[in-house]
Amino acid sequence: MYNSLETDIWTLVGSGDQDAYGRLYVFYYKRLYNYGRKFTDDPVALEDALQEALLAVWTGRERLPQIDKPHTYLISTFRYILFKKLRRDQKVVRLTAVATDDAGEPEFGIDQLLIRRDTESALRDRLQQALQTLTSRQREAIFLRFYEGLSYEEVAAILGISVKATYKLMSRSLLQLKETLSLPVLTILLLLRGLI
Amino acid sequence: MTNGDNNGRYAGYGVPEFICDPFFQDWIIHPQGESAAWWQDWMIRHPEKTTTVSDARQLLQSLYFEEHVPEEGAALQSLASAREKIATTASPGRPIRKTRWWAAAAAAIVILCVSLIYLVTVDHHTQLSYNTSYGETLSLYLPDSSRLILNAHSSVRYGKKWRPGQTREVWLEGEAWFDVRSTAASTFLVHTKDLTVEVLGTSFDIRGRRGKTEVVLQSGKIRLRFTGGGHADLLMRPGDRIILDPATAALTHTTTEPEKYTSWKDRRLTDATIGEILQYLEDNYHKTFILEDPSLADRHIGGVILLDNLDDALFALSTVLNANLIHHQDTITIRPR
Repeated sequence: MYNSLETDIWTLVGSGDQDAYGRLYVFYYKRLYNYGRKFTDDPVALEDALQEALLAVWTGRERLPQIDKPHTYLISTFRYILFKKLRRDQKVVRLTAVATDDAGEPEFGIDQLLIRRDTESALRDRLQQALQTLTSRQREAIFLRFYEGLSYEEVAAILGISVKATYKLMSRSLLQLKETLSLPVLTILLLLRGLI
Repeated sequence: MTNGDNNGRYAGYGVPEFICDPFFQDWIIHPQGESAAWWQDWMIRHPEKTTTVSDARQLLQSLYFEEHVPEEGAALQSLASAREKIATTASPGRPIRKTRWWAAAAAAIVILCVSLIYLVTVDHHTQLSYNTSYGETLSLYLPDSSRLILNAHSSVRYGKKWRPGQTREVWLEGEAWFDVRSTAASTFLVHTKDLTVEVLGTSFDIRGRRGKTEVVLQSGKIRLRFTGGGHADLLMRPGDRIILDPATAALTHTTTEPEKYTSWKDRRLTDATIGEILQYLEDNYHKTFILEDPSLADRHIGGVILLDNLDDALFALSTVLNANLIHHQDTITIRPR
């Protein structure tokens, strides 16, 4: 999943290659859609944010060569635009509801981070429970690191926090998961089950 | 980023330290990356850490996310609408100028130069090709946004631009899984050494290994055309499996559960025999296996075997078979304990 575009795609788009832009558009549309869906299932907000972020790549293509990590930059732009749209929608609702969370940040869905189905069931239950204790930001950090495969520096840039804070956030999340387990020798059990 | 084990500090690590270590995480996130090679090497030198490392790996590997895919065609539709916006903003009603002859001549010269350059460099710019080495798979979107997953030690080649209505063609060596977008107007062809698959909108697996070519159809409809002649065209249905052995020109036609043949793309095998698992590892990791007890080859392993990396798969095998694995260069002997 991480290799689906040519490595020089950003250079091609930067030089005005329309076909390259088309390939980049389709690729990131799917990838950012998956990311955005973690925060909302409103199709209009998603489509608007996707198109706005991807259009910005073309209109700002001349500046691309100066951008150090265009990939991270695009994810970050998309997140910014989507959050802006979602916050605006939220305000309308908020007038009638008592505001409990001042930041009003869109929430990374609690049901979006899961445990693999083929994980041994006792372990899976415990991990699944532990996941409930994570915050939206912790879930998002895990997503960006382990699903999107980004580095700590990139995760930090997208979340708008320092690299040091990202290390803390990530360690706290992972140790929280680890806490709930005393890991037995599961790998062997899993495979032996296949033989019976 | 941490890189390498200065002062041998990893030797003192427990599960909590490993799971929080970015360089260790890289191994899980990029199983084919350079950190993987480093860690495999480190594991050989620290066999006492096997359990700790495998627990830490398991914890990180168990995390996954709900995956959301946009509706079929949504991306292309959005692209079309974006292009419309680009077109309307890019030409803000330029004043109409009289065409001057010299301007026309200059334009003609420019066009001529451009087309000359185009002809000279045509090969580099119109074809894309991708190779995978042993132990590596590659996921690609074709220009029509059809999907292709290339298995290890395989290569694929296709035109960079596919015009609407033009025949879509892909050349394949090795093994790949295809999910083809159906467009009414244009044909989709996959060429291998011994046959051509004509697709009518579908997903399927082609494997050209050990001299034989094998096609398994998951859904939809495809037609096979054989290169050498001798066989008539063949229409396949979902679940069909065709094996062609060009040496004897023999054609085997069976039915199967396609998921069994396409599960490699998720780096796992389902309900396989030991023989099939070993064959997979040989093809994808460039190893040769010797089974000291050949009757083991037919033994069935129920459930899923993960093939993410060679070491994990070997560890699983040795446990299941209760056997020792003896490595000698690229040969691995399996000796019952």
